[in-house]
Amino acid sequence: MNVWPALLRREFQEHKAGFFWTPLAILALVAVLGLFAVARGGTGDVSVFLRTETTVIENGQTRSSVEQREADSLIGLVDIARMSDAQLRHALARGRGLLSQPFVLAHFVIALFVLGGALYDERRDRSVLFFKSMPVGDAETVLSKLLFVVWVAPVISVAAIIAAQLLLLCYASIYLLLAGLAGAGQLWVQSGIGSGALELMVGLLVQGLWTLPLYAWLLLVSAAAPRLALVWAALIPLALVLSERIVAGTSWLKDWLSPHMTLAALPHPGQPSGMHPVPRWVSASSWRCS
Amino acid sequence: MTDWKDNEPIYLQLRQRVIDQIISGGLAEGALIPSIRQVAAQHRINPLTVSRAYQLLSDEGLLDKQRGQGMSVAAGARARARQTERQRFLSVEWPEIARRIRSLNIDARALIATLDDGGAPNEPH
Amino acid sequence: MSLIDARGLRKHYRGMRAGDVCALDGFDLTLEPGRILGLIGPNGSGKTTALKAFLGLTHLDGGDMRVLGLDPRRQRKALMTRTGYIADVGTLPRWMRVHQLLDYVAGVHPGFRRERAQAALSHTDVRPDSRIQGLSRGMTVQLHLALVLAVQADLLVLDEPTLGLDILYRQQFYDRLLSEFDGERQGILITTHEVREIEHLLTDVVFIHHGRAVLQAPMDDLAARFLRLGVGPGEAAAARALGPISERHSLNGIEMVFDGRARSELEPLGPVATPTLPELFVALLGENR
Repeated sequence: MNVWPALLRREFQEHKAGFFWTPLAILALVAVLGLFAVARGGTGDVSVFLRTETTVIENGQTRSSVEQREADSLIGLVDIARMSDAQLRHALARGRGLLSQPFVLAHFVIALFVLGGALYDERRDRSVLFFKSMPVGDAETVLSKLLFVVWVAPVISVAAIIAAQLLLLCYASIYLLLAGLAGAGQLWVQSGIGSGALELMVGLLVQGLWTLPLYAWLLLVSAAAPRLALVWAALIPLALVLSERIVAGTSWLKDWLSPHMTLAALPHPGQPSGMHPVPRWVSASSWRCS
Repeated sequence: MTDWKDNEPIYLQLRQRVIDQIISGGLAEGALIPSIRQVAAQHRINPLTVSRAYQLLSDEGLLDKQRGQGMSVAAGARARARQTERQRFLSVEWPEIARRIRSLNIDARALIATLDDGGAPNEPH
Repeated sequence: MSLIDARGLRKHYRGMRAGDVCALDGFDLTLEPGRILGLIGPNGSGKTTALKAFLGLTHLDGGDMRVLGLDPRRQRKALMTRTGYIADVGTLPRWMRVHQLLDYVAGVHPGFRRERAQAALSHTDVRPDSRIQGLSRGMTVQLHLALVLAVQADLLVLDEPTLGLDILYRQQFYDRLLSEFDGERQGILITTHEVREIEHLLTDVVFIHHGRAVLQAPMDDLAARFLRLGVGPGEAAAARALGPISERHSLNGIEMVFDGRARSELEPLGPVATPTLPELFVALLGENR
């Protein structure tokens, strides 16, 4: 009997508030804030996008700093008509990246709490006795929880991110049309929304793999902790890192752990999508190893 | 849940209830009696206990097995049940009542006279 | 084949202060198809630990055990396709709605017949969109029983299933349980504090005390073996000479319980009856407690 649909559906139902309503709420927030921004002429947002460009230089990409300053002076939706295609594409990619961050961050925080509590809560309210009275193996139960948080629930976030991108593009086009300005068509041509969606999906898979050790650790602690699973999950590695520093004077464990933690929590703002930066870190660490 | 006497096995008490019902006409001859499961659930007793009581009644010729639909009260069961009960009254219950009458110093003749008055046994003064 | 065959089960809990606590100490139990076995003992006697062990929900320190011919610890999944379990307090996930719970069980349990569960629930106040959190204790038990009975399990394990239920729900519970009981292949293992409530239901009884089976016997054997005699002060000495296993002074005079004495030996001394299970339990274990 294939139990997976039922197991994943049960995870979805249990955590619907976190993994379904939260992205939707952020989407609604984006819709409202975007409306305000457009009403004010959309000046604030675009300038923020362009100021973050310094990170791109670090990355060794081929844009000169002169272009950056020019870009810096281009502020507001009214200026879209005056941008070159390359500038427009660049600004939009940055905007997409920024837009995905609240969704990714929310997913990460919720995932921490859900996995940290998953097996602990069942023990506490004794529903573990019911679930264990069903013909489902322990491995299937644990894997279904991990699978859902790491690869199934983010699909909802990705859908919400793409919806938010489309929504803001609509706002901008309507603004341009109403203001009688050119550039609305070019906005969609250069939006990169298709390739952005693909990037998000690939990023999702890779980020899932990258954060797997962290999530698996949370699940392990939630299965064993007598109480306050999240506190245990944080204290044990912290204690190990500290004792490594005191005993050996090294920070090998900290160096190994921190990229997993920080990257999952805070995607790099300079990247085109919130889920994208991980491959860069993977390549960075493999470079460091060699 | 039913209160059972603790000095007699339940299947015998159950058998007695069926016999009482047959004599009083509550269960007519030919009528289907409640299934084992029904009785077990209603009285919260083990199905085996019920089936043992039914088996006994069937051995005594008071119940017939109906193929596929449980058991029914046998033809002539009422007369046979009366006969059995009469014997039981004389051999088991009457000696107990007689002992009680003697121990309480009740005038047996006056007691029997109340039966002829219509059966309502007044307190003999 | 026995539904449960357990020999010499042992389990220790590591105690914080009092040292190791022995939950099971060489515990034996056998359950055959068609039997309803009551596992009876005081709190902390090892009842729940034993039930959990039969279902593979707890690790044992020793002993041999087969449940439905399987090793519960290693083959829990296979075991659970043919076993129903209701634990003492509501264990149904409180956040679920009734229809979600039915979806879930239908999705993971190959033997589950949803229409049976729904038919059973249609006679209750449990609605498909009710959240389990909002159900009363009695309704939760109705729901759980409907799930368990819709599975047609070979083995039902019921741990204090009617705890905290009012009399109406208790009656309904046993009504449903018995009207669905399959005396050919099913077996039921049940524990409860309300021993009087189930004692006529049982075919077998096991008294458990300090993790050991003090007595395992069919109810018929108990009735043949143990007798309770009520005696007046005049006959007390003669009755004591027959070696009662317990003696109790009550409103009815002196009550003694005998093991293995013939009815004919006792009847001249006073009224003879079969002791109830609680009476028997106290008679056998009263001094040890």
